Amino acid sequence: MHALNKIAGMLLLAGALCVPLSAPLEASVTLTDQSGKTVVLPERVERVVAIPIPLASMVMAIDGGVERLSSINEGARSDIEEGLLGTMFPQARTLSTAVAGENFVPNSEALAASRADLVIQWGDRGEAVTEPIRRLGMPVLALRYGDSMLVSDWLRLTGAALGKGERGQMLAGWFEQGVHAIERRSAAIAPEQRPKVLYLMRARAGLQVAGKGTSMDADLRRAGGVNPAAELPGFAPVGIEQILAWNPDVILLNNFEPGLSPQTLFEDRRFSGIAALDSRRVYLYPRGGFRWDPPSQETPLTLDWLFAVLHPERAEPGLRDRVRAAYQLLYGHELNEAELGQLLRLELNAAGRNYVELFGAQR
Amino acid sequence: MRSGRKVLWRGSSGLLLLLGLSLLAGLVLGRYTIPLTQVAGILLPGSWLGAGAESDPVATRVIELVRLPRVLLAALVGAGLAAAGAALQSLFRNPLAEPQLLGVSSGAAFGGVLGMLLVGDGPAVVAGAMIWGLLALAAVFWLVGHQSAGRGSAVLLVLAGIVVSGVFAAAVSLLKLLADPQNQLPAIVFWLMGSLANASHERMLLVLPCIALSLLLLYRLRFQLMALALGEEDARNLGVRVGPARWLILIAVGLITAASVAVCGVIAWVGLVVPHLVRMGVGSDHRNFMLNVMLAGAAYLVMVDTLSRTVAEVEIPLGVLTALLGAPLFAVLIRRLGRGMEA
Amino acid sequence: MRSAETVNEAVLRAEGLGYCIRAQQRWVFQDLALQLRPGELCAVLGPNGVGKSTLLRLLANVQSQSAGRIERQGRVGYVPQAVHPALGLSVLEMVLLGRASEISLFGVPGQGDYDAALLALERVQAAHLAQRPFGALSGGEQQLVLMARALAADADILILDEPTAALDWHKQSLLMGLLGELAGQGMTIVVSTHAPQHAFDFASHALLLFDERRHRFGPPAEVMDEAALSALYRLPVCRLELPVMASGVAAIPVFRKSVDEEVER
Repeated sequence: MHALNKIAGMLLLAGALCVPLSAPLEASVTLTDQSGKTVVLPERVERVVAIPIPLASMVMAIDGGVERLSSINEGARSDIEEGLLGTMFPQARTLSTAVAGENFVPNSEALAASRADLVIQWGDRGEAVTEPIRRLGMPVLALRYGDSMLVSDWLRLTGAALGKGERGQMLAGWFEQGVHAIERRSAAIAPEQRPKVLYLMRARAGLQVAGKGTSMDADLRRAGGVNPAAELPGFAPVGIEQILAWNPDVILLNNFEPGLSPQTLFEDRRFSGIAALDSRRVYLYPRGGFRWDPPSQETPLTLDWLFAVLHPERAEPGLRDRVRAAYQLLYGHELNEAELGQLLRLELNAAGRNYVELFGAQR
Repeated sequence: MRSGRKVLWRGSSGLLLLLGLSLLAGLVLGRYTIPLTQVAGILLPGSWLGAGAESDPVATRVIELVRLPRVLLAALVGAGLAAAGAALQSLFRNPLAEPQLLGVSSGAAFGGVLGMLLVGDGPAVVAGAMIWGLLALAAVFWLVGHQSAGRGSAVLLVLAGIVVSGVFAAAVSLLKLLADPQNQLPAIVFWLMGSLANASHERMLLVLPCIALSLLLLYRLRFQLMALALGEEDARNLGVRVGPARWLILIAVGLITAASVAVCGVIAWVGLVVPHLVRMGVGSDHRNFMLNVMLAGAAYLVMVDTLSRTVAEVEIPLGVLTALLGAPLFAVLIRRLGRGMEA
Repeated sequence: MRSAETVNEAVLRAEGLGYCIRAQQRWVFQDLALQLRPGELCAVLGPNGVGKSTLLRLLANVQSQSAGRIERQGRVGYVPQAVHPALGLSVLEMVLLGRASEISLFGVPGQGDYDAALLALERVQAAHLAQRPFGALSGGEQQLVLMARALAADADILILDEPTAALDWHKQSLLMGLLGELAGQGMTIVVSTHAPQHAFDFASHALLLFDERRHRFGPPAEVMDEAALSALYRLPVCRLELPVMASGVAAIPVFRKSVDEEVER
């Protein structure tokens, strides 16, 4: 299949080289991206630059490989090297990260050199990040960041742009179904049964919580939790006293700070006395092809996991199997036990209440 | 002079009282509500003040592990920065001198980031901040030259500070570029922003010897500091040992700046605003000026930090508040200074 | 001419003194000599730029000479033309700074230092200024305070750079009279001035600096004749005998330009 695509691509490329560059390609795909702009793409996209961090793994998931990716974000490299992405797609280790610069501003020279025919970029970070791409005459597919539900359209748009509209559509449907399933299950939970859940975006370099407008805030509400920091704007720095005053029932730890684990909080005497620590409900987010805390194609799994963590008594057993199935669907990869354990952070989260019972391997 | 002695120490006692009140406020106020009686019970166990208050282990930890190290660190850093500012103002014969303005903080920031990148968080950051802070100070001194008695010296000083700050700010940006954006950068950015949020007894003890020793040094050098305000040549003619005095002062200032940058990042304006406030409020008699500056600086930073962590659920960065309060305060000072010159 | 005895008594002695601005390879003055005993007051006269200030700085050891040698017996107090403290100092603090050489690096002035400072202020009749801010004083008062500062340092030799420059006639006479009094108490004083009258009325010696090589040192009545003064200021200067004056001598310059050429000869 791949080889066939390649040959077709090469034929097309040869054809494209024969016609003058100014002439619009006869066969083209027209899309409306998340910024409302119309994007005209060649029927067969060959070189994709994915500037948003989650789009590296998403393109791999949709396309089933890295062949068409010509450059990804430096930030995605840790998914390849520390997460499972590199295990599933070994060639990803050699991908260039030259185009996406600091704060997602593209490097025009590297972008021009990439000769990309599709550049995926954030559409809600101002013209400064998209304008340099348009100036080079390259088509920009702009995506919006925020609520996790935006991801289903990332899947649709990226699928369509890559000429795999059906697969994109299918994954988007799977995504929405998964999210809605969790929403339905948590809708039945009475307000007084919803635990107070705090997501710590930073726990080592100061304290930062996820407030209004963050995907973590929306996710933990979807999974039947209450965010005591919901009124704060974005990722907000707070003092330890504020956290003590909130007294959350569950604390979720980010995947961004190296060396951070629930143990870090258990060892910090300032945290003791918080309900979440007393009941040992401090958990580090899992990490597979992508970090589970920010939105990505793996978000339905995040919500499934989160619901189980927040409401262990209502948890649907068999998350391990669902994760395995999802990886088969998304990446065509069969997770082994060790990979699954690493993904779910079984070791680091072992001390967390119910964690091993919920997510450990069946004896 | 003898009659003035009572008035003289009235100012210091006033400032001491202010410091005491601000420390108390810092211990009592916070996002985690603890009744006053309970605070008293925790601080003075067994005393009649705390009797009757129910014991809350979290409250005890908040007081002992969060607020106490934080107010003490704020007091230490505040006293240090204010004294460093006052010392530099004498040394450079310039009322605008301040560690931040002179590029010392930028140098220390560079050294700290370098230490963080090469070795990791901890003593390397403190050592790096100190060494490069002192180097930056030496660079400014070399640029201005020691015959800084001329009229143009104010401009020269500011220019030298701009040059040194500029170089080190660029170097810090370069280091940030070289840092691993996922693993190292967030810690660097947080550290550079300046905050007392990570205050702990360990951190306080780490910088206590440094700052306390420097404060003692500056206090003992208070007569030399007054002499240096005359200018190098005049002071030397009077028999002042300009060289040793200057180097000791520079080392003390460098240690204070670097140590405070190392534990709580760059906190601007304190060294500029506090000495001027003291001069206007309680006078500049050399006998207790340095002491007053230290007391006032400690009280000032404790109050500002208490404000930063209590006004909103979000913690306002300390550097933002000191600038927000300091700059307008200084603007008022400039206006009054200008009017004084016309009169 | 002088006996060996008086030479030995000299507390300030310079021989073959010269100063060269190295960057310009230019000698400001060369081969200058003077000697003063306790109680003697020497007025240094000369046109602008002839090196009066430089000479005083060499004598006070503020700067070092390029040639020759200076012998000083006792402590030298140097009073600059003006001091601009960067930060506010009170008069008392300014005078206390005169005690700096007595105070260790980590020390502060003790009671003895305060007593010495107040005494010094009393000697220049400025005790009433003690608590005033130095910067708020008039030029004349600042000069008095700076003199007190030198006195507080227990100076035996006082070197003053044009202390009368900014003063009206009355203040000039008060200040010069004060210097005369101090000399009367046994101090050795060197003072630069643009007023020959100061030399006639108060000085035991005058040092006239004509140019790089030519200088004259001696009692004012001897060295400050009409020819010398005329050459010094490049103006016709008349010396008049005035019976009403203390010294009985006055030097009157003729400023009108038309007569300029006559004197040039």
